[in-house]
Amino acid sequence: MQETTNLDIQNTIFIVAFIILLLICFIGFVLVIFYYKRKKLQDELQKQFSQTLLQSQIEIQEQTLQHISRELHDNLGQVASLIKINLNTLQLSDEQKTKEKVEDTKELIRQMIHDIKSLSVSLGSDRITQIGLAKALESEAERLNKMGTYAVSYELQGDVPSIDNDKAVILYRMAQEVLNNIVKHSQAKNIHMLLSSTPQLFTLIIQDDGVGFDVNENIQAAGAGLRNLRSRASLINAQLQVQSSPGNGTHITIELPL
Amino acid sequence: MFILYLISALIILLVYCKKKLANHLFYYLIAYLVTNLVFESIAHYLVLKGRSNYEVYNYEMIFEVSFFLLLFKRNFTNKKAKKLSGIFAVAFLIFSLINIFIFESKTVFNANTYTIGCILLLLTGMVYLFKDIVRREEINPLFFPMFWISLGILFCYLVNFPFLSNVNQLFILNKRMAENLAVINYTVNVLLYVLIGIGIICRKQQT
Repeated sequence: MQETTNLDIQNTIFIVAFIILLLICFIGFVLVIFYYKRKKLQDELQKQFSQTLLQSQIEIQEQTLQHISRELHDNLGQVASLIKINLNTLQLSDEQKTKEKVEDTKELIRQMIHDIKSLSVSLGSDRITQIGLAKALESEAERLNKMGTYAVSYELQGDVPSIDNDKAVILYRMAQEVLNNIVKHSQAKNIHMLLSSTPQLFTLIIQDDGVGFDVNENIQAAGAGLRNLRSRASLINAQLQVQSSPGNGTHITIELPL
Repeated sequence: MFILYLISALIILLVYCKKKLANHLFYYLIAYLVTNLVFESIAHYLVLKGRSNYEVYNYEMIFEVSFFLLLFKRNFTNKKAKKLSGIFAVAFLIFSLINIFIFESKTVFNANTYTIGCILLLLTGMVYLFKDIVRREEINPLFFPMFWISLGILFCYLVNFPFLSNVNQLFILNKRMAENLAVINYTVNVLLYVLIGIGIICRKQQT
């Protein structure tokens, strides 16, 4: 009887020990699979991030080339034509008039040199890295202002934020996309761009007084612009808020934890 | 011994709630533990009186599987998975009640219900662990209670599944083996509560 009880206890201990060992192996196995899957997901996310970064850089370059082409046609081309007209109409017999035209031409050439310089700055592919996100956005606001269709105001609150270069490129592209949408669809007159930064958070707000749109409808219809913005925001762990309603303009906030 | 573990798990939870370290998850767990304690007490009382306690365990199993499915539903971040686990819980509840009243008797262990419940829980648990939590990069699984809880549920049902889904046949074949199965069942259940406890303790360390 005593022997049977001892055997029973031994048997129970063996079963319990075996199950505990099984649990430890199970936990180890699950943890290995868990971290392997997480690593795989992180790699995929990194790949996706790189692709988006590359796409953003290409889009920025395209935007820059369009800007250069417009500048060459509308600005430099016009100035060059004026210079040509001035030189063609020079009357060497009239010294006074010739002097005036030469002075006028000199001024036009000076303006042209200035425009070429500012164009060459915008040509650099790593412009955002060189001048920083805040300055790049400011020049974007200036560019829109020059078009004369919109009154664009730019405001920077707090220190110039230090943002990782890759994230800055994506942020800049997001801002460009928002501004492009305003130009294409909003019929706005005033655009306000606000950058604020605290040690924990960088915030970019772009608002306009245009026709606005129904945000819920746009989300349901999965508008490509908004979808792009959301996917880019999620890639850099930023929060995107879109507030708009028909007739009340649009208010877009991008918050990036630093 | 099993009831002792349940009581101690309950005490730990109550202490944590009192310290206001808890969130809603812990209230769910308290509800679960209290209900299980009631079931186990009744089952123990029936054994002491020399009566069969299968009926109690049949109801406890329905409650437990539905509860865990709803717990996963509550914690899923993916909307589709949330909806699906809710459907699983309701479908399981309907199936098990039909089974207990029409097909399998109340007085024998409802192996069909257990098999279906096990499959649903294992599927949901694995999807939760390897599809849902794994995507949430902000989560360190070692400090996330639901990681440990889902691990406990998976382990408990994975080990019990092959035995308990055939328990009626095994009882007929070999009584000695059935006794060993009872030990396995107790141990696995105790380990489930230990893992729930680990989840709570890990969360405390994080806070």
